[in-house]
Amino acid sequence: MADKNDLLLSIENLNFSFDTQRGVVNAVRDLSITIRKGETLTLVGESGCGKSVTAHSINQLNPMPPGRVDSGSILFRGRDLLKLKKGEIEKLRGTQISMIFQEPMTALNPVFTVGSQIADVFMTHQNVSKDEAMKRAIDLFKLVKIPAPERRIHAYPHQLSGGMRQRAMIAMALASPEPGLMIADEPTTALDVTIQAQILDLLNDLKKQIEMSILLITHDMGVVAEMADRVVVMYAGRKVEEADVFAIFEEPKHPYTLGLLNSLPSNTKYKGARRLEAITGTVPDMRTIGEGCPFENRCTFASEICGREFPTETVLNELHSVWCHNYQKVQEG
Amino acid sequence: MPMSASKIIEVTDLKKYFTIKSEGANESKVLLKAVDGVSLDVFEGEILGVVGESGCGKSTLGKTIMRLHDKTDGQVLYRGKDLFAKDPEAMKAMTLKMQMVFQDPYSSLNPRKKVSKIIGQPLDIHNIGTPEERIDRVAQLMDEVGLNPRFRLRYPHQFSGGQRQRIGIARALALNPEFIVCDEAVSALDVSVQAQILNLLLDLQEKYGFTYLFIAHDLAVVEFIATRILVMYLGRIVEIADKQELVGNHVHPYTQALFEAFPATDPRARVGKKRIVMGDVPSPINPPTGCHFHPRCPYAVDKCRQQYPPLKEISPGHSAACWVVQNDI
Repeated sequence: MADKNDLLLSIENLNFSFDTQRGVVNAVRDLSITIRKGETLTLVGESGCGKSVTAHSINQLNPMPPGRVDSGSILFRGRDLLKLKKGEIEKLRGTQISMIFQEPMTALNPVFTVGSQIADVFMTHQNVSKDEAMKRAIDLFKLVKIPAPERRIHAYPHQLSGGMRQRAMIAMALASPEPGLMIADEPTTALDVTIQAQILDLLNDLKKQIEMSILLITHDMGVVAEMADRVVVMYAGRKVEEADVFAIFEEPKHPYTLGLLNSLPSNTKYKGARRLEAITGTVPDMRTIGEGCPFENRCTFASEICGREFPTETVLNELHSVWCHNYQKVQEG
Repeated sequence: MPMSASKIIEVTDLKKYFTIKSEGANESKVLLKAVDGVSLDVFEGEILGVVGESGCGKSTLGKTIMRLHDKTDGQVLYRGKDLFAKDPEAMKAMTLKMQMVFQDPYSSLNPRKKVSKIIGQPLDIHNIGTPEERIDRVAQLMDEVGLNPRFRLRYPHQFSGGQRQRIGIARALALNPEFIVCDEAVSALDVSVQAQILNLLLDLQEKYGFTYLFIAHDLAVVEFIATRILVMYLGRIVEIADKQELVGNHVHPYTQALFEAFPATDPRARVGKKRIVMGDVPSPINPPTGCHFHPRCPYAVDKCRQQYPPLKEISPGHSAACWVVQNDI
């Protein structure tokens, strides 16, 4: 396992729930993940699986209430983020943990120029003059390959295309003095595919230039395949499988991971096929999930125990773990 | 495409322009050429996939073929009859056989109507059957698309995204159509649900012999479901061919860029991938002169900057609009 000095972030046994009018939603259950320096960890899963709640619990962007942390800890560079005061968290957000969002149009402020928004980060957290801050903003625009940066920093968000806005937001995320962790929540979902390819390339290039870890949240297995070092697959609030990216695609052990891969029309097994092997049924109501495995009602491998008990971790090798009572059946096909 | 198959839809030089306010300070009106001279035939029993990025005009094309938009110019024939020549009443009779499934299963269903009312509305509009027969038909349609008919008195918000898309499909089936435009019909769905809906669309096609115009931005989805694929860029068709041909032998630089950019679902393929297209999709309001793709095209020559290339057949059933491919430079 990883050298202890290598560890940047570790979430341990996080339970996060939301109080809603119609009952408690356990959005994240007993989740543990680690991120090492310089790696890209992707959290993958479908809507409502808890991947965004997990990511937002790191820099505490989940609305609380109705959200609440029931238990667990989030250690970042040795400090438990859940025990920090509001001001301390705010300081971390601008300096060591940065975030890029799915829709840059809503994440950027429409009434300020993109340049001044980036300059703000420098002025707030690094105490530099406005001129110096703007100069640094231009440098960042160059870094994220925005053409004509001197002109573009004076543009308002609506004057930029979707791809350029996303680049501007990445630039803002890089305005930290010591970028440790970048949380990217569906960073390319709103973009066209030729633009997505450019943004993914950019993130990969930046990661090489700057020592930075990326926590990438996505529902798109294609993005996972392009970006990930390691992958955590989530389903209905639970981590169900964790492995290096190659094992996830080549030797999936959880029935849900297998089902996700089989749902992809681009899966090479479907060359010439006329039907997909779809997962039947739908995600269960998060308010009524019991203690069993949440995938039980859709799983072709389910046995009696699955409805009663969530499985414990099965360690297959140092990188690969699965939470499934019947993973051996998946292996046999 | 086999010549024996009959044409359901013939589109000739179809244009759809929108007049919009320009973004500048002077408030002048400008033309957005969403569909700019598209000709195509849709043959009986085929699934014609339409793929392209946002703003390429693929949805406008689908909607104009359905006459949900009025055309600016050109012609749409449905079984040889001019769709736009008819007055609205006669048009209504023709559209019995043409239906549409929309992208967003949230906004395309009236939230204040019960599911039975939504699915049965086409029957009401066209006055088909007695009220009792309509109830039976709705139950049968729900069953057909995999919805429990017991839920017929529920409202759309009580269903998941995938179930709502099934409601939209049931509504499209109500009148026994033969031609269905699917406009990003699976784009808003999670991948596991998307797979279910794709299978459903294929099951229905097999059972009833539907013809689909399947519009999507997701190349993998189109590649899977379509039998023939056309690629659009800024209002025009840049390449069209049978699926196998297009997937194996795409020649237009934009089609190549699309295939390159599409993330492979194989992590080992990411090493050494080449990206050939940089830059943004230009605005359709003021597209580049000549070939609209030339500012992003690595092969562009002078002629590309001056003249728009015609869509020309380069091998039987395979056409591309590119001077370089046509070897005419």
